[in-house]
Amino acid sequence: MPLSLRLAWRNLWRHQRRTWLTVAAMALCNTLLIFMIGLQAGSYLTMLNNNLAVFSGHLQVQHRDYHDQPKPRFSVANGVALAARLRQLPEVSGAAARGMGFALLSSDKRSKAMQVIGVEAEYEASVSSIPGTLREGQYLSADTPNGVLLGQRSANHLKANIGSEITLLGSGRDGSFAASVLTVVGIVDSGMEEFDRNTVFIRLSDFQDIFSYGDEVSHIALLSASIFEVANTQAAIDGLIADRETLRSLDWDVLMPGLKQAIQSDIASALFIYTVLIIVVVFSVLNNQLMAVLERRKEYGILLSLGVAHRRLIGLLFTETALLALLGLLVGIALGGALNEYFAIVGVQFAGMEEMGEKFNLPARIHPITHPLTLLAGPIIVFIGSVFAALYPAIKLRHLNPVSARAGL
Amino acid sequence: MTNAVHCHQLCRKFHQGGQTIHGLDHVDFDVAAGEFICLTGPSGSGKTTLLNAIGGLDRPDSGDIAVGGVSLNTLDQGALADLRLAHIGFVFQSYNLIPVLSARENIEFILLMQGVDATERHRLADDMLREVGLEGLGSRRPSELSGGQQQRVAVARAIVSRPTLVLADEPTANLDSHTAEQLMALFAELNLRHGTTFIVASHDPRVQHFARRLIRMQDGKIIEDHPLAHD
Amino acid sequence: MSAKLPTTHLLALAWRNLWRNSERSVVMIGALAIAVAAMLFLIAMMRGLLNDMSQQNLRALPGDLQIHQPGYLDDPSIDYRMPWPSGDLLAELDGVGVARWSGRLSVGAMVASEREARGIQLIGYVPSREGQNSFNEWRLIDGDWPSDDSKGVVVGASLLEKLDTQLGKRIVLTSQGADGEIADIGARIIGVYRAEMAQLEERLVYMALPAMQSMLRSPDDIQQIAIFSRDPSRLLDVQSRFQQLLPSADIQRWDQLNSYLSAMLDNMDAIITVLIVVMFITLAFGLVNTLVMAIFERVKEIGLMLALGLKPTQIALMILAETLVLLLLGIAIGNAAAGLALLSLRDGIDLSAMAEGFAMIGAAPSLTPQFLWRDLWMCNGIVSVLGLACSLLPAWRAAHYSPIEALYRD
Ligand SMILES: Nc1ncnc2c1ncn2[C@@H]1O[C@H](COP(=O)(O)OP(=O)(O)OP(=O)(O)O)[C@@H](O)[C@H]1O
Ligand SMILES: [Mg+2]
Repeated sequence: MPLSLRLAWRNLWRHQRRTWLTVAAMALCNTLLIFMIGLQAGSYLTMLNNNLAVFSGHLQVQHRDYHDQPKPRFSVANGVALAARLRQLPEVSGAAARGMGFALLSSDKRSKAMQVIGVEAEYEASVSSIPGTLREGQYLSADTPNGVLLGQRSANHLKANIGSEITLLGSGRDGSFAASVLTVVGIVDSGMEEFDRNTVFIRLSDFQDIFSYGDEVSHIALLSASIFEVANTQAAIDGLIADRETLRSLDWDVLMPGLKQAIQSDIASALFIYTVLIIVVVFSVLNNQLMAVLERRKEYGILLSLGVAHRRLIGLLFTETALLALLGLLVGIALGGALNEYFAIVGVQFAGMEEMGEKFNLPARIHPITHPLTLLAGPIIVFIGSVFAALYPAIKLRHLNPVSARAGL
Repeated sequence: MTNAVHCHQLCRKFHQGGQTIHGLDHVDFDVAAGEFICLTGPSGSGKTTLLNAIGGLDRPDSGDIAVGGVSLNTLDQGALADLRLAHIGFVFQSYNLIPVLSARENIEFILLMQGVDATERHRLADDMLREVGLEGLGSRRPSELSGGQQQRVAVARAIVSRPTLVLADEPTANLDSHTAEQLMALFAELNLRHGTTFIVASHDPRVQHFARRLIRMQDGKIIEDHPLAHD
Repeated sequence: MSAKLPTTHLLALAWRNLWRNSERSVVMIGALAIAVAAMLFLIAMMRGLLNDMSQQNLRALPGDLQIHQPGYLDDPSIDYRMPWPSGDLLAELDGVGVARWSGRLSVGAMVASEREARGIQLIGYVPSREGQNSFNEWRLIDGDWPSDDSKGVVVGASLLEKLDTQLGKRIVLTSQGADGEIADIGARIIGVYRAEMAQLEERLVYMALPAMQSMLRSPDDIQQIAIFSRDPSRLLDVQSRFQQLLPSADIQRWDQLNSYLSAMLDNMDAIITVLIVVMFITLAFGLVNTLVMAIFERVKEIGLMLALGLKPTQIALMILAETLVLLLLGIAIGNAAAGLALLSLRDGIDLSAMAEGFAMIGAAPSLTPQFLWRDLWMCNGIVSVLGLACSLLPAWRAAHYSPIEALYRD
């Protein structure tokens, strides 16, 4: 170890308790940061996955104007064939065409206006988790002509069971009268209350018949291998639909702007807390180093008188601070990492989480993520901030006059 | 009449690096009220140790001390503090003043703790400042006073509350001979007028000049104890 | 006689001791002030957001207290209806605890223009009974709100756009009638409003209660009685009075209506406490360090004071007083800073860039911080108490120095 490093190290331990207290402050802050960032990352990822996988998909192919004006006439021609071609792309892990319409649904006891979604029964499960939440009956298939799938809540509302007849009244794509009698074949529970209350599913072919869509569909929902590969997948899709000018692809960010913004505003408020935590810790380090410089005035005075340059002393001070910060970093990463690992297994449960879970389709427990980024981002900022904290003591040192310093003034 | 101070077979050992040092080695002596004693002896002979023991700052390993007839062995820390506050004035050898308080406030500090009211405190402190020759310097902080001036503030603080016993450790160490004589004259006057008992540890011959009894120590023992005659 | 420093002097001494190493104290006070200010600010923002979410949640159908048939809240169907109040209930509603009240209908319906169909929430209300603070808060941008006997509907601007229609045009509303049969009615759009949240603007369609009753073939029936209490602090009393009167009815306060919000409201104090404590603990290390150092460099002086006759408890009190002064300064500055920040934002922060995100959590894109004195006392109280607790150990140690050892230490 070079002499200056050794000197800095020893200086650090002149006041053991003081050093440990400051290290503890940094370590605690780092632990908190690692845990909270890990938890945030964990909940965002779950939130994204759960929300997108339920219905919207990572991407959709729509008519150019549909997103801004979701009108029936802005539809995708030859949707089923296009979906089949998209499914061939290696980047796409699932694709299914859908039709979207509104209608009044009536059982013999109740009526309710609801969203009617036509799905490609055999492919819907590759883009949506809803087929997997079947509670009763069976999913839509070729064997269920004019079958309808209800959500748990809409079934309750309509007082309908498997086999009940449901009358559909609405208007077709061309403005004509759309009507049909459907039979309940299954009941699903998406877990999202609002969605469940207001949505029913029928086969896409039935949808096209009832609402006069011909071979048109409203959109094609797509899933890529993971949320991180959406950009890639989108590029591949865009290549495939390049020849069809009326179409465009939209990623989840555009499809559900609320999701990203909700995450962003959550990040913003978390950043606020983190910033304050870091400032508080940086102040602790500043105080620590300020005290060190002040109590060593006489000693600095002697060294300066002996001909040691100011910048050497300042260098020493920064080395000492960096060592201090490094200790805080290491201890913090160790504790924070351990905490994260523990809760990654056990899961974290907050007050109000169940209710929130229903709102955002989250599980009741959140598992923090440990990733180099979540592990290092906070501690590195604390480290840099701490080293910066030595700036003020360094300025004081810079202006130290050997004679008055020796007198302890 | 009870003695102002009574010491019986006082022993105080210090252990330092495997060595045992006899700070006080079977010290026996009595001080009558109103005496003015000069405690002398070479450096390290045990003067400060003896004063600390009498003031109740340090407990001897064995032996008895009584101040004003009260045995210190029977008192707890709180009672010792009360005793010092009420009856004993201290002048320490090295560190004497509270740095955040001005000279006047340092003097008033004891009176404040004794519950003396503000106007009376100010009056007494101003009188005291004048008597020790620091008129006009009352509002200075210790760091703005010279060593000798600080020493005089310490003396003023020790006597302002009219204690019955004053323990002074080298009070003249930092003073020029004129100021030193003034200070000793002040001690002598208080001693005569109020019957205050003084025990002053010092190598300074000027102190011996004012004292009426000399106790010489060496290696923790009293080797000489006799009245001083003055003309 | 007992040695005692009067409190004023103790504080004066503490004050001077604090400024002996002024930089160190300033840094510590600064850290305290920043932490306190940030906490207060954040708490007010959280409260503001939650408050806004509760308000937005109620915007469609406001009311301090809402009475429904059991089952309605789970399944808002016309089947869960009740007659317009009469008899004892009417007497109680017109009694002293109630500022005003009204009956309403609210059912899911389909609205169709010539071009488009949409699912909406159709709300029937008695315009003359609803005060200024209800739906009317929403900006009417065109036309008029209905009068009690009008037959027209008021729709949100974005619904109007989605339906591709305009003011004065007719639309068809379809729902289920009280008899279970399909009920539909053609109605003219007589007003267009704008809400803070597009979500609501697209969903809520208003019409006068009598017109809606006749459409649903349920003359005189309503689904909800909304009560505005005269004194919000006595809402619980009012609630229990009505519950006694209507033992089988579902009577909810505004803060109970949404399970997520009521859980959040219940847990808010706990969340705030945890936040403050965590922040304080991070701060505490620096605080303890400052105190320990302040004592460490004053050992001789403390020895001197003990030698002069100051009692150990007085020494401890002196250290505590010093800590207290430090804490109070930090807290005062922090409170002032937070106060200024909140005051400058009292008209709300415009967050329209994040409108959809806020809509997703059910809040308007304008956030008005909500300051509660309770939060201020809680934050200041926790910081002072924990801060003093931090100084106990150093103070105790200082009090137990042996005077000569301290005095002669180098
Ligand atoms: N706390 C202590 N620990 C160890 N040894 C001590 C301690 N205090 C005093 N001594 C020793 O006890 C002896 C008496 O010391 P004391 O301070 O009483 O001498 P003194 O007569 O006051 O000397 P001086 O004239 O230099 O002030 C010395 O040998 C000293 O080294
Ligand atoms: Mg001595």
